[in-house]
Amino acid sequence: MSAKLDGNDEWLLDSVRRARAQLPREHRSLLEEIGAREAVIDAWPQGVLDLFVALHEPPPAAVAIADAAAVWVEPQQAVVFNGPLFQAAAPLLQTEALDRIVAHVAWHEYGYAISVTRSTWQQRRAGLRLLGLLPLRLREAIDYPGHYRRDQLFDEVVATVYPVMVERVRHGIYRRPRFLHSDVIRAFEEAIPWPPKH
Amino acid sequence: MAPEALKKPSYTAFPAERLVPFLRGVADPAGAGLSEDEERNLRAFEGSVNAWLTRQREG
Repeated sequence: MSAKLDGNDEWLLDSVRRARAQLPREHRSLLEEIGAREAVIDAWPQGVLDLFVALHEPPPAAVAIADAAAVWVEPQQAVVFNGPLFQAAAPLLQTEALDRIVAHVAWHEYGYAISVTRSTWQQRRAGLRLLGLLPLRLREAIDYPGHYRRDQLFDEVVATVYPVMVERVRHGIYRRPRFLHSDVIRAFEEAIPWPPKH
Repeated sequence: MAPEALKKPSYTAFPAERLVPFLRGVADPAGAGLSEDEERNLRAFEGSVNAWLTRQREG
């Protein structure tokens, strides 16, 4: 991993990596196959833009990522976290609570990485319909219409459901949740190997 | 949508404004209610995120 991707917020990077280590082994293997990496960016958002420039890829507009908590950078296959944003919360929360927050955001990003890598355009056509089938609490987490384009919704739905499912298996619950529509579960299981092998 | 309109994006940002609704949804997807501790932690985090966003936007 390049120096630019390493960042200085070591506690945050450690927390993100612990979250990755807590994922089911099958999914950790998938992330390794994808080549997914993680990093904390201190100089936000310029540090993110620099990653694109380093690869001679057109960067996003700074304004498009300035208020982001994390960004999946496709050309780098990297999840980058907003160091200053999480750093600001650190003094206010116990380590355990902060780790849990970081883990849920990290699992969202890893779920997105797996989904966006494996999903097909045919699957992604169903994103809007699946969004409408999510329980209100999860639907409210996805800023559409607004932040996301319609073609991003499928992977965003999968990514939002992923931490919920990971929490369940971490508690030994492998049955399908009743609060998720069967079509959402079907789409999720098409994108993410589920239930994961132990 | 045509296939060419469904190319993978070169980046996808998770907006900070959606962090707390997301965390609330993950912690309580069925709407059963959060524990006092969870609620207190989320509110503290929300205050921190909002303060950061304000500073960010004020430059």
